[in-house]
Amino acid sequence: MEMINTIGRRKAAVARVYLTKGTGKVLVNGKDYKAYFPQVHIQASIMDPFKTVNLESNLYDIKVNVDGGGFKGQAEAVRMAISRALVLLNADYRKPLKDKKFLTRDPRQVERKKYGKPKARKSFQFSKR
Amino acid sequence: MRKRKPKPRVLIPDPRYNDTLVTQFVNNLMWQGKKSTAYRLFYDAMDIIQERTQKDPHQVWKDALNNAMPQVQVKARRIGGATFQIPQEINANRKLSMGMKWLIRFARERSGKGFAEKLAAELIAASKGEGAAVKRKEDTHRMAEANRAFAHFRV
Repeated sequence: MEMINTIGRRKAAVARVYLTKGTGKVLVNGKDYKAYFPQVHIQASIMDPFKTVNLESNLYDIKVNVDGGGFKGQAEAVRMAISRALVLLNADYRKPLKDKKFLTRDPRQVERKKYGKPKARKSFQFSKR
Repeated sequence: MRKRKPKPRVLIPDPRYNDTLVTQFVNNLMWQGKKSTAYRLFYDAMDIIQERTQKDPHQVWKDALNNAMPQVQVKARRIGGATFQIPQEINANRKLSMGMKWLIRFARERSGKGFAEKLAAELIAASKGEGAAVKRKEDTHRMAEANRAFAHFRV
């Protein structure tokens, strides 16, 4: 089987996934995904697409390059890329993954800062005189 | 008045016990968005409970939460110039969140070293029906019972 290549994005993070037949190794930027994401509550989200479609994850090797963003954004970008790869593998997976919103690019971004304000919405303290 | 009901939030179950209620509890004790720290504190407390009581810490936590949840509360309402304390039942979600917030608050107010230690002590006490959080629940119940005469007013 040839290699499946997909892209996932979330916030400022971009994840490129290369999925091949293999033994269940998941490498993120050259490290095992458990070493790359030390936060236990984040790790689960990487494997979520496999769990959702009841697919054994030890049949495939996954290589991920992920760039930009923080750990949460990166993890969800990887999750989206893996979900897209699984859809290319078998179109039947589309429905369950779509129901969990794994295939939807979350459009929420950091709102830009405006002049005359210290943050996007916050105002400087009002002083009457 | 709200225009429509808020959408119920979907929480991801926690990694150790696979329980969304645990996630809610951890979110409540989190400060400044530091979820990893919050999880570490909670699991440390669970380990301490395991060590001290030799019981399943998840079950101890559930018992503690059950014992700390209030069923009724009083709400102030003005009727004809006088303010009455009117007892009313609390809905299931609010009960849960009140119980959690009390457990966390009274754990923080305990004396001792480190939050994990204090949380463990408060949870063990609450699971036995003792501790400041359970006392708070009983006070709330007592207030409701004392003002039972006004129950027909309805808030």
